[in-house]
Amino acid sequence: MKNFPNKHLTEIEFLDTIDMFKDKLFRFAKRLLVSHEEAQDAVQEVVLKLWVQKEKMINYRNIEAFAMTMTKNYCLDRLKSKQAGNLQLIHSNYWDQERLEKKIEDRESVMLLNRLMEDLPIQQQMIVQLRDVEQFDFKQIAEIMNMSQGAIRVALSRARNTLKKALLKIHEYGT
Amino acid sequence: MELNIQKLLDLYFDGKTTTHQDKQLRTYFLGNTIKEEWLPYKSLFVGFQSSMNEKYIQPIDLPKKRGYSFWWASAAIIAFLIIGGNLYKPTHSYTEQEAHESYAEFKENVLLVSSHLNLGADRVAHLETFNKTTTKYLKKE
Repeated sequence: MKNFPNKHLTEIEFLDTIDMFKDKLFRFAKRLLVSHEEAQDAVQEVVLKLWVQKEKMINYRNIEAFAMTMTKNYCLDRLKSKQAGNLQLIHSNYWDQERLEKKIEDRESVMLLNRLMEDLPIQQQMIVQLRDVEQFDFKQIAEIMNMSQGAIRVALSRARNTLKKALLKIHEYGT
Repeated sequence: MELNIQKLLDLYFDGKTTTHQDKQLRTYFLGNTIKEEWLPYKSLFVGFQSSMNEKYIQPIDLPKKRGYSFWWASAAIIAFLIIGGNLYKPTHSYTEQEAHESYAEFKENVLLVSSHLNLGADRVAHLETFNKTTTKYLKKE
């Protein structure tokens, strides 16, 4: 990860830094919030927060992990307020959105995986996203999740086994 | 090779694979020949890999700074009033009556200046709202 040599981080340097991981923030937010628009809002919000405290960014050795942590917190807050407002996540939107995305080569696998992951506890969803999709190392995941590496591995193993069982079942009986 | 994959899969489901081993598994499952009994796991690795195709394509909006000229203008007026006030030396002594009169006059002038300054500042605020709203709608499109 890039470290900033001086305090005067220009707008261009800032945006270049954000560019390196904005897709990860977006995918992480979308995993949690499901809605495409809300995930975009989450990224915009996190980037603004980072911009406001960009002078502090030199103190964080790993800005990427820090941004992921902020995204996690933002999304969990959003989910909490949704529950409080009795708003249901509309899963069907997600499917339509996904169907429209032609760029995704193996849509069926992605859709199946998204569906199966939605049934995992939220913490396991986050850990699988960080490890299996974004390929963060365990140290970074521990930092983002504020958990020990051991606990991360346990949660990861549980999540993967749940997915494995579901996949075997689908393969055996179909759907 | 296949024996190796079984070992890696066991490690994987135990949450014990390294990043390198995860890559090996991914490469295997993205390939064309997958052993029958592992076919159910194909969706897992293909799905993870394909999830990466999703990108954030929206432009990032950073708040624009308010122009320096506005603050400089305000500062210059204030500085002028203070310095001007201090430099001004009365050439003759005033009666109390005259002093009150000139104080009232000064007060009136300063109030006039400040109201004009506020008017200017208000317009700047309008301009900002206008800017924000236009960019909002332009972006939406």
